[in-house]
Amino acid sequence: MKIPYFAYVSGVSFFIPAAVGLYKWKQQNRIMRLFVLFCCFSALHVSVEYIFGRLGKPTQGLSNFHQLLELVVILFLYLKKSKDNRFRSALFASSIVYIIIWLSNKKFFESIDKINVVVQSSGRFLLIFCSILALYDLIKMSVSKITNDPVFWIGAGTIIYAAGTIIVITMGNIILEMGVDYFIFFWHINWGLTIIANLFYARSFLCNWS
Amino acid sequence: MQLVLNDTLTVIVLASIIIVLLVVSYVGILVTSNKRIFYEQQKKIDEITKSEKRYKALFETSLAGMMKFSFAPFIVFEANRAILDMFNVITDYDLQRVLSDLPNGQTDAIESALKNKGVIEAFEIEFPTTTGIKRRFLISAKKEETENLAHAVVVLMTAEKLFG
Repeated sequence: MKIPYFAYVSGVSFFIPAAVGLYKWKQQNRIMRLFVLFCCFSALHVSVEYIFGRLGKPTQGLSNFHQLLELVVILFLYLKKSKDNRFRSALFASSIVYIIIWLSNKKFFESIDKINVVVQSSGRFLLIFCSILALYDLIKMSVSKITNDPVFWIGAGTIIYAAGTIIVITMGNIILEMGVDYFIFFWHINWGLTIIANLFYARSFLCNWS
Repeated sequence: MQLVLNDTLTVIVLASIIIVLLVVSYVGILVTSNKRIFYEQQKKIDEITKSEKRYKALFETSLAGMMKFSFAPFIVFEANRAILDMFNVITDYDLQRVLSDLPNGQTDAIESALKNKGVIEAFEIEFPTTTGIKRRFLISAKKEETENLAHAVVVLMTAEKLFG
């Protein structure tokens, strides 16, 4: 199967935040360093997915694990940033709920040749919900420009990516049944938004955590 | 292969585009309102800084003695040059030592008046300087709303020249 050039661009975009994060490693605090490590993991993940794809091995398990890690790391960042106890409790509860959903899916429903709609969609839904609240919380307590805050770029990147792909992911298996060409056509949405999200993540490393 | 977009697929594409546009609008509104809030805050800070500078100059050059202090316990936080000269002291701490131990219970009188009424108006105090000359002052002070802090203006009544 021929992989579109846009997919390669999307794959390479995962290395941008990892590279910027590592380059600016000394300027990051411990929380942002965790996010740098997550970006490095994402770059590694996309490389392994590419190799597995070429070898004809299933990549759904990897993708699900990446989704879990992404949600936990981003919610942890929001939790550390917020000073609102109710929001912090909501974030903590969301993480626990998602981990339970993820483990249940892993135990009972995970399919290696299909998109795990429950895990992927619920993860994106939680990311959208928590990112909207995190950005609102950020603007509420901000005393300077929010564009100088890394959480703004992470939140904006996450929300744009998760919201833009939630429908395609939810309908992924139906589209796949219609044929690979249809799937590739719709997956351009995912690739495009991935590039935007990765550029936003990279931008976050140029800000100072306050 | 020729792709045929039926209604369902068109809805998927349109819905995704609409959601992305909504999210981008949300982020845009946040940034714009943050910029506005930041601009307003900056304007207020500039005004406060200007006003603070004006009053600081007035405070420092005033011929009347001025100070900011806590009356329970008696601590002088800020005093201008004039009040230090009036009491013949050099530092804020020296002034605090003098005022916290005025003779004839005058310190207690100031403290209780501020505690009870929140204000003292033209209260007369007498203070013997180290040179032996007794100086008499009129002190007016007003308590701040929340804490035991007050601002005071002190005028020298004794007919002697302190400056120049």
